[in-house]
Amino acid sequence: MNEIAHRVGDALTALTLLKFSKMRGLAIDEEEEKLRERVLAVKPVLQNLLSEIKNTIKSRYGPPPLLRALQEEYGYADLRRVEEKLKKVLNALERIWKGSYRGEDFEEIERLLECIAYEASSRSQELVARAGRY
Amino acid sequence: MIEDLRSDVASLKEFFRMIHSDDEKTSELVGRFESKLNKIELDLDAQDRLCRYLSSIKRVRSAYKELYTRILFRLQQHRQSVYLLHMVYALASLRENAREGEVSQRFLSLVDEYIDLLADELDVSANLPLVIAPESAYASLPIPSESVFIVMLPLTNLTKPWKWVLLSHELGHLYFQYYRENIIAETLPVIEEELRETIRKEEQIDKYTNLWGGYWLQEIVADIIAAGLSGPAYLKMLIIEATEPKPTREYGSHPPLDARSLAQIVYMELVKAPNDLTLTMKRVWEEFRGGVQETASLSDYSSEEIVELISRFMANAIREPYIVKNWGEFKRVIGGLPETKSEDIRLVVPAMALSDVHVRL
Repeated sequence: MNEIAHRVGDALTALTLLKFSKMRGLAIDEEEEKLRERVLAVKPVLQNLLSEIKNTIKSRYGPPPLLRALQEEYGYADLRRVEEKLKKVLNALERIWKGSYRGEDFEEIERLLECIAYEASSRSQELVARAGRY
Repeated sequence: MIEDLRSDVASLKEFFRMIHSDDEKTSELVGRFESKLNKIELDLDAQDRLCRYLSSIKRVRSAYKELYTRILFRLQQHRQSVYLLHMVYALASLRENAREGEVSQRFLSLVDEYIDLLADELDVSANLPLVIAPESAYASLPIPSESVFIVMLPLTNLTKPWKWVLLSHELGHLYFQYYRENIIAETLPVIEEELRETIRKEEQIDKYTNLWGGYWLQEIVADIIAAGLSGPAYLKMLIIEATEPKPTREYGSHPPLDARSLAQIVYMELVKAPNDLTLTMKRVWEEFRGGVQETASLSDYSSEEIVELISRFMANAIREPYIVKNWGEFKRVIGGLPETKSEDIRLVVPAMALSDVHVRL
């Protein structure tokens, strides 16, 4: 969880800087391509969540914490709708990777990543506090 | 904030440098976390640069606040990493302290050998250093991002090898981490069905399904793994460690002792362990349970049916556990005690536990 929070947090910072540069016309020091790479680094995390959705549906057991947080964020009881949302964000990431920037893509990605980042962070805090009492 | 974190990281680097030792396990542990500290240091430099940039966009208020929040989030993650690294440092230095005495150093290298051999038996330790740290309780700290598994044992038990069988339960947690998805997918829906058959209130079903999924299932699996490695000796030491006057009592993190013992005995029956092995387990349990005043049976939340279905799953997963394969050898080792020279430590440790040889020595 700590690792996920780190990775998603870095992607969010890179996304913010890209947005400043491409959507708001603010000058930044970072190279555009490096920023896009940092944003794309979050892709495996989202792909992993997609496979967790499949496992959860198969097992019929309650979803793991990150998926539960996404359900709450979007108000979706049905995990298939979370799956759609994740796929939509993955497509938006691809567009950014190709250098095609749209305001709504930034918004979609930010909302989803923020939800994952904060949930992963608070779960990580819990797990570390519990460690040692396994 | 950045300066404060930077000084924490610098202190930790210094602490880790000070505990660099000739001990292979400590060195490996320290090496992995030193590189993590270096990475944090680099990112703190990056956050510092962003802070300088931040002052140039102070007038664009919304952009300023957004980036400020992003930086804060990164720093919070580093704060958490620093906390985790503190814990690792404390555990590594406890290990090094224990290595200072000649006797405890000998015991530590024995317990290292013991846990490595057990992990090989389970096939869960490839490229994963298992580091023993003497602490206050039997526990474990898996750190998947650094591929390290720290196993704690009470310092008071370092020189009591018969208690080391309890480490096999901690390895059971590692086994669970490896096969988590499969174990949960195969057992939890059936557990939930069982709960539905006996409990009416939906919120109670949810509560206990989550308890099983979050904690209890893992504990029962770890107990079965431990029994498979150490046999009746594990059950005996578990009873001693738990010191439980109410064996049907449920805890948030652990199912009742009655359920934990039943799971081990049923598992041995299902894998068709030698008769005297299963009988010894039953005798060990009865000696304790028969003396306890409490006669209540397990509740519907942790019923015998639920426990049995977990044991059945594990019996299919591990059909011939170590102690079953080596029961004949184990009996020979226990018969030869206190002579232990050149015997397999995986058998000597449980033999000591089961025979109470230390009491007679």
